[in-house]
Amino acid sequence: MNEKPQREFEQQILNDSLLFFGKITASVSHELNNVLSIIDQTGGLLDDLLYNAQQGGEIPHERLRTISDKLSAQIERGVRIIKRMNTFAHTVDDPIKKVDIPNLVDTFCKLMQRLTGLKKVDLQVEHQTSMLQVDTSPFFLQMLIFNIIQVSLQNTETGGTLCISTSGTEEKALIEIDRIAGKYDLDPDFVIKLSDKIGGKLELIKKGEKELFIIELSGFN
Amino acid sequence: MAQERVLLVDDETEFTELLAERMRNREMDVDTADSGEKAIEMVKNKYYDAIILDLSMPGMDGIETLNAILGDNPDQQVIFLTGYASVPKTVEALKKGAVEFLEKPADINQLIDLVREAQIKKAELFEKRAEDSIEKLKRGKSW
Repeated sequence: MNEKPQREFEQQILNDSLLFFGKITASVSHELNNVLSIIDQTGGLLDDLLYNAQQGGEIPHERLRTISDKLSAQIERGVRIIKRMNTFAHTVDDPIKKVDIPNLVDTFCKLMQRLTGLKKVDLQVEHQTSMLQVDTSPFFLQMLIFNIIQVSLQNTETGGTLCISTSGTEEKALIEIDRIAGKYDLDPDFVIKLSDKIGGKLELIKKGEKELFIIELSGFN
Repeated sequence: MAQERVLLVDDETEFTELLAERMRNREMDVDTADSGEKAIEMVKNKYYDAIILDLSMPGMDGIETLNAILGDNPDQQVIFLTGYASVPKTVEALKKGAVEFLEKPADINQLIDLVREAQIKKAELFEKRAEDSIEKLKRGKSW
């Protein structure tokens, strides 16, 4: 590749990587803010009940039990969100590594759920095998999956289902993602070059009534 | 003034239920809706002094909901309560007719003050419309 197009491509990758990272972290921080708002209001409600008790009102033991349970549930929710975010943040630690594909797809799809939920799109994940490891770039693989899902979301008014499934052998891993066709599409040049970064290729195929994107990962040889 | 009537709109139902309970403990009449679509239906059937509305919701977002509500009820007082108040979104919401734009977590006392101000403002606007209608009628009859 000539120097100028290569530089332009690397700049494009950098810009898109930052946009991708920003989109995911913004979504996660929005969710966490909701959790903290609920905890904040719960604290406020406890203050209200305490004040009421100090004024001679009843101490509602059952209500306190419910409040305590809901508080625990929100804290657990917050911890889950933070752990997923932490896993995502650490995907930039190693440019290439052996990646557990079903695990990566699961964690990433959970991070995507708020974004797909805003369009009322149900994201469904299926794994044909639980053990599927391949050498790839975890960050760029997630970025490719994100771009594929994002285009389908842009083509969706509201509602519907998006299925993602993983399968494979010792030699290669496959990630199949439903395509919702419409005005928006992936930039073919950009996708080809991103596929190089992950040690794989992307194809669009027809399977019955559906169209699917298939990411095939064979590792770096 | 009469009891304040408030509609809380947010897809985080745990949040709206808690806030509603706290506001009811402060003698307010509070309803909740978990979507913009539901809120629009509820506003058709009940008078609310203020609507406290989330910006980011599945389906109809806060701005779309605001447009739909103000289309039928231009005097409706709407307060945005959202996770992230970017400058462009704040400006857009205020230009479209929201009365205030707050970030979560919000202080309940601040919210209550805003609801009370909204009640007064809405009543004043209603009174003004009624006076304007009477004036128009008088002019028409040449009284």
